[in-house]
Amino acid sequence: MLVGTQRAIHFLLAISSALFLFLASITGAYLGGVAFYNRFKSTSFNELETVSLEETISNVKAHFTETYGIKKTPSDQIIVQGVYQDEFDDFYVNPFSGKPIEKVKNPSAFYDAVLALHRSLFLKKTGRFIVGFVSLLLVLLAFTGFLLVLKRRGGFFSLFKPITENNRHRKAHIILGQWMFLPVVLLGLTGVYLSAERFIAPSLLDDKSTAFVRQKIDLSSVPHSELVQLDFPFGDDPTGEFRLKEKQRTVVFQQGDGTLVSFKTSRLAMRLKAFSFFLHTGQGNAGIAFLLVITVLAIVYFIFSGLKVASKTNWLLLKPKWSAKKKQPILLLYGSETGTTLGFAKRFKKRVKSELGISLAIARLNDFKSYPELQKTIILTSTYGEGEPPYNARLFFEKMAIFESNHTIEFSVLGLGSKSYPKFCQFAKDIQFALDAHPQFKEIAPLYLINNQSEKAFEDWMQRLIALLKE
Amino acid sequence: MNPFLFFSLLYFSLFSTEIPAEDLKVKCMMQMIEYRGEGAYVNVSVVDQEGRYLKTIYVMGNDKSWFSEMPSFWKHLRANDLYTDEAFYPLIDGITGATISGGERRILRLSIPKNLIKATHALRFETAVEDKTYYQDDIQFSLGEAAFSQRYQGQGYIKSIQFSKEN
Repeated sequence: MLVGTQRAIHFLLAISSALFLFLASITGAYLGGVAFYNRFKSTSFNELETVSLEETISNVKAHFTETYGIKKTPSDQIIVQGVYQDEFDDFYVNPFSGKPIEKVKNPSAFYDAVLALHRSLFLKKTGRFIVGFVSLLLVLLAFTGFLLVLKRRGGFFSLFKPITENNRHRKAHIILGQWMFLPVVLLGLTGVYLSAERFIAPSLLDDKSTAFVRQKIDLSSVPHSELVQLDFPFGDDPTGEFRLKEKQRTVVFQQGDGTLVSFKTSRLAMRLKAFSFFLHTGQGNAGIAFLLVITVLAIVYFIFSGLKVASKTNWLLLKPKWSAKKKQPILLLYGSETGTTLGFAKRFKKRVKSELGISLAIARLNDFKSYPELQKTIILTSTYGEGEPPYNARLFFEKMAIFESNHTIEFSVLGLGSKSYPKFCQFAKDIQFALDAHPQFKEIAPLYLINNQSEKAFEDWMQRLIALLKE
Repeated sequence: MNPFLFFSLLYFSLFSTEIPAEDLKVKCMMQMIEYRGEGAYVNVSVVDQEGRYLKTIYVMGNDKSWFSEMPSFWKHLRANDLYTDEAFYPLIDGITGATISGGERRILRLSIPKNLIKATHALRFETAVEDKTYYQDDIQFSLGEAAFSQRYQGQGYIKSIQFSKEN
């Protein structure tokens, strides 16, 4: 029961979010690609730790007529706002020589559009809420999916064993599901946090003033690695102040002697935001950016393979269940995990109707119950995982324990499975064994097992059964 | 043609065409308060006593659909069909896009037509931040004498602005 519910939840979550996730993934792949590419631009510099901020500043000042501020991008590009050769602009500079490389260009209109689509679906605030909510659905999808994989594989340690599955899309869905679980959860959670951050109480996020740790700031001791932005004093005011924003603190100090004016450190929630942003965008880290692109491509494949696999199974499972209301003398019982066995059961029912003109009652093994008219029962069942019953057959033995009948019932069992599993058709064998031992049940045809949904074997079995039912 | 008319036409075409107004160029340091949230949308415009927009000097914000967060400015854009007028945007000096967020600072270079600089006009800094209050007059000051030699405190997201004249 539990697995069926989980699968249904997984399926419903997927169906309701597929379109949005697809949009977010496609745009995310592009944005991740750009973040990856940015790391290799000629304006990005490595080994920034070999030069001090003070050296960079004095080199920059030698090239610029005026300088207003210097900042570092996540991709380790140094940007100076100032006047260079009579041009007032933002320039990328070489941190070692201080020389301008090129003007900072705004992101293309296309990039902005993709970013807006990714963050808010062009729907502004409503869109931001939807995107945040869909990110949450993504996390839930990853968890329900992972639980299903664990169940299917028979525990955490079985994840490393080769998988037995014939449907290639289902197989890939499972394998990708187990390996991409963590990246997908991280991507989803950081997405949720970045969308929900606006709802967090400001008091948790505002920087807090701290007692002065140092009385003076010496720019020669400030490493590039911590730099976010440094604003120079504006105008000719000799009491002008420097404002230095580092990753975890912001300090304001006087020019000249470097006396501290204020000192603030960022709060945990703010650092969490910065960290989420880093993980979610991969900006400044080619490895993370690459992994993000792989993750979103995997999500696109999850959507594709999920729809492909679900089209055969979940759609069927979501149909209203058939009941044994009609009290037919012959009852067809089925145990089906993915819907394949149910498909076989329905084909058999149709065949009996067309060849013999007999209507069969049909019910899930879970719903088995005796009734006065019942004479024969034909059981079709698959086996799940390590010889366990499919979800809609789990209660069968409990139902058998309370079974009561004043007459003998004839039965026959058909097992469907794959020989690639060590416990081939184990659940069908268990039923056969239990019914064999039961005084009120009598076998009319021996247990029949079908490997890999063999059509030939199924046809053979149907003919045998129909011949028996004719009598 | 009547020679008098000819010469008077020549005279007018040579000397009485309107001389393009010269611009006053100033650098403006804009320091934001430590607010939290998205980057601020800012527009700097010269307005008259009734608050009518005479000229927009600077707009910060790279997605114009968000300009609706500044209702007064938005009304002006819509009423004068400027929103869809692609030619309007490059005319604003420095629609440089990038917004600035809480605690940040930016130096703007503003070009203000000298013929608009009079005490009856004012320079308005209008600001808006997504999900937060909108300030029609975050800063507004009269363009009288010594207008650019003072420091102004903002009411909203702008902490202060300060100018320095260009040579």
